[in-house]
Amino acid sequence: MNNAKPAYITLLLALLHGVAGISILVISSWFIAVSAIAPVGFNYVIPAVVIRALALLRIASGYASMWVGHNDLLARIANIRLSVFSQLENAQINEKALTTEALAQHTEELASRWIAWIAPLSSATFIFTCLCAVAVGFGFPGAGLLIALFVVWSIALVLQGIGALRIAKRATHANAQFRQGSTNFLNSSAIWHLSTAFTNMREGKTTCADESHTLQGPERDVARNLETAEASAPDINIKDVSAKVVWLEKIAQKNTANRMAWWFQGMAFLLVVLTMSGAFSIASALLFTPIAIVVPMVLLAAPDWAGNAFSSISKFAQYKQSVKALQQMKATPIKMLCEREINTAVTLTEFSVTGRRTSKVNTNLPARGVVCVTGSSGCGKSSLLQGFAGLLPAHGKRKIDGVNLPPGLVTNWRYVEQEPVILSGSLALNLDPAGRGISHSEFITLMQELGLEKLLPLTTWVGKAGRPLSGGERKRVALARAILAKPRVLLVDEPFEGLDIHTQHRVCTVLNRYAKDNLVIIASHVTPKALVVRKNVQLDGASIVTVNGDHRATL
Amino acid sequence: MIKEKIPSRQTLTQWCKEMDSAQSLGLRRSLMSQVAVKCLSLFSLIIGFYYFSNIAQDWVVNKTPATRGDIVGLSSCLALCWLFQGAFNALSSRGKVKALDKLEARLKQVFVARQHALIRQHSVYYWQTLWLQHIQAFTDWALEYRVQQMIAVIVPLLALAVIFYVNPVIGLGLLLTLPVVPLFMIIVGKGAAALHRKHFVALERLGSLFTDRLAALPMLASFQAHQKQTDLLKQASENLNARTMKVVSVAFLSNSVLDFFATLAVALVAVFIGFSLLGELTIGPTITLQQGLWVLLTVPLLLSEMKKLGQVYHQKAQAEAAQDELYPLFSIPIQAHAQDKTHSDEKVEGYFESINKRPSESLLTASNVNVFEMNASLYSSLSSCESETPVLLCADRLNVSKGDKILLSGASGSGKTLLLEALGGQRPASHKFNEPVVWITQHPVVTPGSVRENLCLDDSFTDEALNEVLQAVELGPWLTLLPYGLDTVMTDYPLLSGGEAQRLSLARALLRKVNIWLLDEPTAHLPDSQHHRLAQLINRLGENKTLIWASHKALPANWFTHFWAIKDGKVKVASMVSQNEDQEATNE
Repeated sequence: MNNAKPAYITLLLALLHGVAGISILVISSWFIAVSAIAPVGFNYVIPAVVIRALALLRIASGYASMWVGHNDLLARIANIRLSVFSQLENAQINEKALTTEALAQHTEELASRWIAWIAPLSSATFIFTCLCAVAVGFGFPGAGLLIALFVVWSIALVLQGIGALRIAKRATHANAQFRQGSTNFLNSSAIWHLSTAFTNMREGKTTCADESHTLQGPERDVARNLETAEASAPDINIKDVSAKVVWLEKIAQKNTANRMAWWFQGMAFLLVVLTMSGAFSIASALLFTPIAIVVPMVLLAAPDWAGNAFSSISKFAQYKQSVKALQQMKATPIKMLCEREINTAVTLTEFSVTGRRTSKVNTNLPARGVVCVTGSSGCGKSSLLQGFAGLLPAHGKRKIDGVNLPPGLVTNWRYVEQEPVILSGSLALNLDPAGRGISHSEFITLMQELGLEKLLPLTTWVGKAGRPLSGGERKRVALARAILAKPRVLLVDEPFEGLDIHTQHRVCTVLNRYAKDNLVIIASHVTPKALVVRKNVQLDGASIVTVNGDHRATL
Repeated sequence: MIKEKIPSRQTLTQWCKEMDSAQSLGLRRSLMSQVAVKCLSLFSLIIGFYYFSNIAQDWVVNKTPATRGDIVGLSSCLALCWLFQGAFNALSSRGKVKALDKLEARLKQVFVARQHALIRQHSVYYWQTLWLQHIQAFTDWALEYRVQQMIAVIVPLLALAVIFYVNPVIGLGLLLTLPVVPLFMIIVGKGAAALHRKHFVALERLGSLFTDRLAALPMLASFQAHQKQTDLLKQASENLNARTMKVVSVAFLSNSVLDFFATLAVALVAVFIGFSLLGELTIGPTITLQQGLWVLLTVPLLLSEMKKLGQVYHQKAQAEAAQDELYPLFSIPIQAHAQDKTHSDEKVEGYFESINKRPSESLLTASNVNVFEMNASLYSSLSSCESETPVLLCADRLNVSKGDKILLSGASGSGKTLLLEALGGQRPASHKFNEPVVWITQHPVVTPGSVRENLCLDDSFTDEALNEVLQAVELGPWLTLLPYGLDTVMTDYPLLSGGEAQRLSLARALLRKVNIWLLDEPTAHLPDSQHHRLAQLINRLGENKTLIWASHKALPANWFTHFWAIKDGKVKVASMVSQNEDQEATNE
């Protein structure tokens, strides 16, 4: 991921921008100093032209470095993302914490390393080195102090780098903790009202309501707010769940950069005073010549042109964290199995999904027709379907016509999720994501059969930032997508939820027709009468038989 | 589901002011002190420049070392500048931490007041983003962007005043050109915004494709669509990059305008001063090196703060995005207000029934019940703009007495849950129960803790009590099978079927001596056999409780004393017989 070509042009332009800036400062201060005591016949045209030329150079390089840098950044983001994406072909990210947004952010962090910290840091270093070299080379008074500042700057950078890395690590940790804590907290919202702290708070409020009667209007609001703010510890774990740690780490990251910049500013000012007081200046040939004010000028301006390096270091720390996060990204490959014809039956023996305490299933499924898997929510209907399709690892055996099927995803079996994924894209793209070139008339007929005429035309953009779809519409679009892929086995999870009777009927008709030649397995807690069910698999009564979790379903 | 409308949008600054006074965030004070300290710091720096130029004059023109007075002046000014800068940093981080604390506390209050009725409307991810990022975005804007914004106005004026004092000609020149800078920036900004609007839809769609396809990975794998989607992503990112560059090429100009003026101002002032010193130019008063250097050092301050403003400019957009989400939430009146109202302002309203005058057996006697959307403020709805607050549900008369068993029916999405939420006090409404209620929702909550923790939450009960309730909900046999009994830890996939989990939440309810149970389709996700068993259990356990039971599955009519039906946003109290028929008809 890191082997993209270095962004030399970005770097070069940033250097040019920085060098031009500092040169203007140096040359113009020298120029007016020299002008003040100018001997007759002093050639003032050249410096004046140089100053103006440098100004133009700085403006041009400023714009160019922004433009080129950004262009390069975008190209890099695209490249990194594409490579991450192709790495994930036929794979699953099995880390819950690594959300897609986090991944997007990490890739951006990775791509932006040139403009975020490499270019600013190297340009500051380069300028510092050049200045020291020039100052020493020409024997400017105060050159030693400039070198001292360079040393201090470098040490401060290293120190801050170490600190920033530590903070970034802590921030990542705090973030993960907040995610976990708040997920548990928010998921239990339905039982918050049962916690005593909450009921106490409510009673507390009613009792103190009378006291505040004397206050009027907004004042009372404020008083009320203060009271409630103090009494706010209203839930089981609401006290424990706080984003404060995350914020504090973020603020700390900024603060260390600011603090370092502040110390550096102090140091620069101290050196300015030292140079100007003459405490350190050794008798130099250039003492009291116009060129002598160059070093103090540079020192005085140092917080401006070298101080930004400290916030770049913070970005470096974030970059390191992103690299780590991307390296740690674990993707499990999904094994693909070639399709196989089913002549008589699919058999499941002692089949259960790994890691979930679902019951073991023994059943025989016909080669054609609708099979209905029923059971209460949480009994493992979805897991069973996903395990059957090969999307989840499972114990036990899947057999086709008595021949065992190794674990993996069968290429022409399709699973339609309970909460189906709608791709951000046109409707046609959603119906044919693999680009098999299915004819549009086929799309339209099926859409009409499923009662989705409202979504037409096929160019309608759906998904994020497109036409919003209701739960039922999403389900039917996903169902249409699966059916258009002509799978041998179609697994549908809760197809009837959120549909009115009429639409349920339409969906049943489509499913019945498809089941004539194929196996359709439906997990649902309702079975519409219109559905021609060939076999029913009842997953309920999945009570525990033995303590170690080895329980079986009554089929 | 009844859609809730987003309230009309205020400007960010107005909203911020309101929030500040309502929540006593201390934003204004922090803002003012930060600006004052920063300006003092920069002012000391400008005075420091004066001494610096004095010394330079001594060195270069007079060929003497610096005088003691100048050195003291320089060192004290620079020290002051440094110390003020340190104070500014400290103030900034302290103000932010304080504001963040207050905002988080307020968010938690809203959570407490609105509970599940609010949380269920969005995903956990949404709430986390809101909590973690939006609140921070708002504070950053309020205490960083706005500070910088004020500094960027004040400091140039300060610098200009000094320059005028030193040399009116240069001052006048700068004064005339300075307003051009914001003017150009506005023009460029408008151009960039127009360009952005032109590409807005494409940018938004293409920009999220990567995360979108990542989220769809398993689906893409099963459809073998990865290759096709990779090609698509490639095309999309090329298209996106091209469009983005078009927009930023213009947007960057605004930065360059600043850079242009800042650089050119320095260069031209330097040349002007140099030429004046040389005697080549004789406009205005004569200039000394000291004056020239002072002006040269001060000129960058004219625009440097505005440049810094540009660096935090993104905070504004983020805060605006945050406002969209936070505004409805933070305008939710906290329960206390509503209760206050009922106590204190009865005469004004006549809207609330007197709570105290009710007969003791009655839990709720309500006429003209209205249920509002989540962020409806009772203050505004009652005083001026009553008609503007949309009423989601209404009822002419609802009576609940102790021991009533009420069946609440209606098509899915008709608002059964809304009514329950309103009566339970989680949603703004004209009436609610005045004593605690227990909810049983469609999806039972099982927390990752132990069985004991699941039942007790933050309360404590004896083991006998816990065993007793578990027996009562027929989970006794289940408990005996658990390896560690009450201390068995539930994991992400607990040893519970849907029915069992619902029993667990019944046990939780039984533990608490609460008289009113609000049942929101507790059996909705269970197959029929389980539905019957669980319904019977609920009916038996709830015998001496007051029940309001929302269901669209068949329940025996003789279990109930009252029937409420919701249709077209109206709650109707139906007579027993006709309701009976209705009920059966819908179940068929």
